[in-house]
Amino acid sequence: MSLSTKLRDCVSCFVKVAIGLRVIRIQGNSMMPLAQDGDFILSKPLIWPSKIQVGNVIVFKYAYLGYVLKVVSLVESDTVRVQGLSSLSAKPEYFGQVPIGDIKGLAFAVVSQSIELNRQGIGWQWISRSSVCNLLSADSSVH
Amino acid sequence: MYKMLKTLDDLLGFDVASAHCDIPCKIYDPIIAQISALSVVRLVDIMLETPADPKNLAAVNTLTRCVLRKEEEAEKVKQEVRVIWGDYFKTAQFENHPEMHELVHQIMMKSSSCKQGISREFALDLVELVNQFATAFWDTKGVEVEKRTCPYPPNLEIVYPVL
Repeated sequence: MSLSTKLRDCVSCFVKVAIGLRVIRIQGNSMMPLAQDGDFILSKPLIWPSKIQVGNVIVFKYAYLGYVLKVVSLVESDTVRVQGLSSLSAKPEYFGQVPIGDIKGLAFAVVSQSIELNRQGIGWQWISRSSVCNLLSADSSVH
Repeated sequence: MYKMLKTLDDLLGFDVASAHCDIPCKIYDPIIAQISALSVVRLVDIMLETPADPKNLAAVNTLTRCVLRKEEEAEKVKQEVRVIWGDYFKTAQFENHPEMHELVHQIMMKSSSCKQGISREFALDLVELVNQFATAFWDTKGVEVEKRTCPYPPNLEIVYPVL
């Protein structure tokens, strides 16, 4: 791959991300403790579908519900399984296999009222995949 | 940052992503919790009536089944109440029922007590607490309630909505 091709791909990727950055308000508490009702998430477009991993927080389109925010719990060939972080969240079976093409964004930061109230940092927190994975495994423990 | 986004959201209206706990959304009814609480009482009654003879396999079978079911029903009470409290109740409902947090916590504790033992008194307390919860729930919907004796064992009074 030539340098100019690489550069063009980088610029193209940057533009896609810049254009695709979105602020989305969360409704519901199934993603607690990561985020709660009324918080905002910042999402970027999924540039490389093949890079989707367990622990990614995704926004996807779902019939009747519109946009839904969940965590990827299993990656299959062209689909993913999703679930919430709260023990009260709808079970992964409800959503079934979500086509990767239906993923509209990857959440990468949370802007939470609680963060602001606690005066932590600048009022947001990055979403780390490893910490989300920890929350996933904590949720699967017995309550 | 949050305040800034909140203001922008009020002005522009960002997209909303559902992160709801239970689906289908907006279908809430405390009757499941009430029936489960009644079931706990009924199961305790059956256990208290069953001879605790380890040589009587039929009795052991009955007791074992009752313990398992009591555990499940008490957990169902917790689950149903938590979902209504966590998802349905919002600021407006909490303002009208500031006692709700304490009431829900009492239900959680009492359900656990019912799992741990076979006290009929605890089970009756659980029914009463869930009745209080149901009364508050229907009040938030502007629906009147009435207490009626359920037409099946353990024949206790239950809060029903007057629809």
